[in-house]
Amino acid sequence: MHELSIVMNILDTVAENAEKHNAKVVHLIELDIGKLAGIEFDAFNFATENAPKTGIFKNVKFSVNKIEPIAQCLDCKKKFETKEYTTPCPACNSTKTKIIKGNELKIKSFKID
Amino acid sequence: MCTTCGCEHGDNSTKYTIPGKEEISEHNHSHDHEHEHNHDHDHHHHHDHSHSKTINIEQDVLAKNNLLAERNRGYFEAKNIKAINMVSSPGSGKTSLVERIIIDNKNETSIFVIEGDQQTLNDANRIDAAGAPVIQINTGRGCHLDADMINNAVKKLEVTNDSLLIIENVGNLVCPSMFDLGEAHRIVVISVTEGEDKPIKYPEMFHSSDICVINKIDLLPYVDFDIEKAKEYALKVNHHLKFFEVSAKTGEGLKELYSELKVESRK
Repeated sequence: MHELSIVMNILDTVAENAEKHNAKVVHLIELDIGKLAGIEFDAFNFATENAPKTGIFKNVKFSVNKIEPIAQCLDCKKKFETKEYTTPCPACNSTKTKIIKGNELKIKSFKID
Repeated sequence: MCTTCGCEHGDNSTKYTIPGKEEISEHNHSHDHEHEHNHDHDHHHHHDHSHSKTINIEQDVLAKNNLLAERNRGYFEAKNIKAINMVSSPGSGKTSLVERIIIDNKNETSIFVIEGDQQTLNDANRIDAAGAPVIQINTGRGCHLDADMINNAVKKLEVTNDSLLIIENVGNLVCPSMFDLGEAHRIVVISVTEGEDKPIKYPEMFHSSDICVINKIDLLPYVDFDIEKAKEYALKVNHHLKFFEVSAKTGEGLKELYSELKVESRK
């Protein structure tokens, strides 16, 4: 269950940034999470609901943009949508592929007062 | 409650213990507050009634861990310490493999070990008996080691220059994949008593490793494990993986692994 420590990391990072903007309260944290980022979304939701939230985070909500993965074939350079690491290139069937999108785990923005 | 890791002070805090010495600390995350006073006055004056504003930061969630991991990596490079991070599910034989590496190489190479487990000093005691300086990190409820723990452990263990540092991560094929520790190699260990489809069941770990050790090959005659199939699956996930088929028990295949890690050239 590393999702909880990920959520605590997020709150920590947002707290640091919110302090710079003299935030009294953080309403919403918007995240970009790729479907191949190693995050189980159900566990993540459970973690966001159950993580201890105090002070500026008392009523914080999370908005998650799930990013669809895109891979690129290293042999023929074709880019294609994929669901996992193991999908071979649909054009040349090569397994030498690289995930170029869909493994990000980013705090995009947060909304404060 | 520590806000970085979510762990609580008390029974579930991170503990560092060197066998034969008393527990050296309960909870020693550095939590350094980086007061970078770079006031970039980019106020987005939306002027809606609530005076709410949205701050765009576009920051990687693991940025802090990654930064600390890079600091560890720089420290290891400067001191010519080769750090390897061993990951696997529980029971693949990581500790036996570490014991064997120590016994085979301790006369030629200084070897230090960091052991990660949720509870107990059992593994550290085994490594201590094999003859290498070791520190046990007990993560409490934590499911992985992170770069901050390694930073603390390396200081307490007093790792010397030109040595081999073996980090045995918490037995877990999921969570440790996301946490860079600053290692030179990440070695994923699977054993022939597991299913050969482990690489496609837990792709993140195989994707983030650069070496795959297939352990317990002395048991191959007794199990249905298909080594070629396992490699094929693993290569589908990560075509850069290098494979070593070994038995920590009989020593078979270990010379090739030592040569890849250049164990013998470290004194």
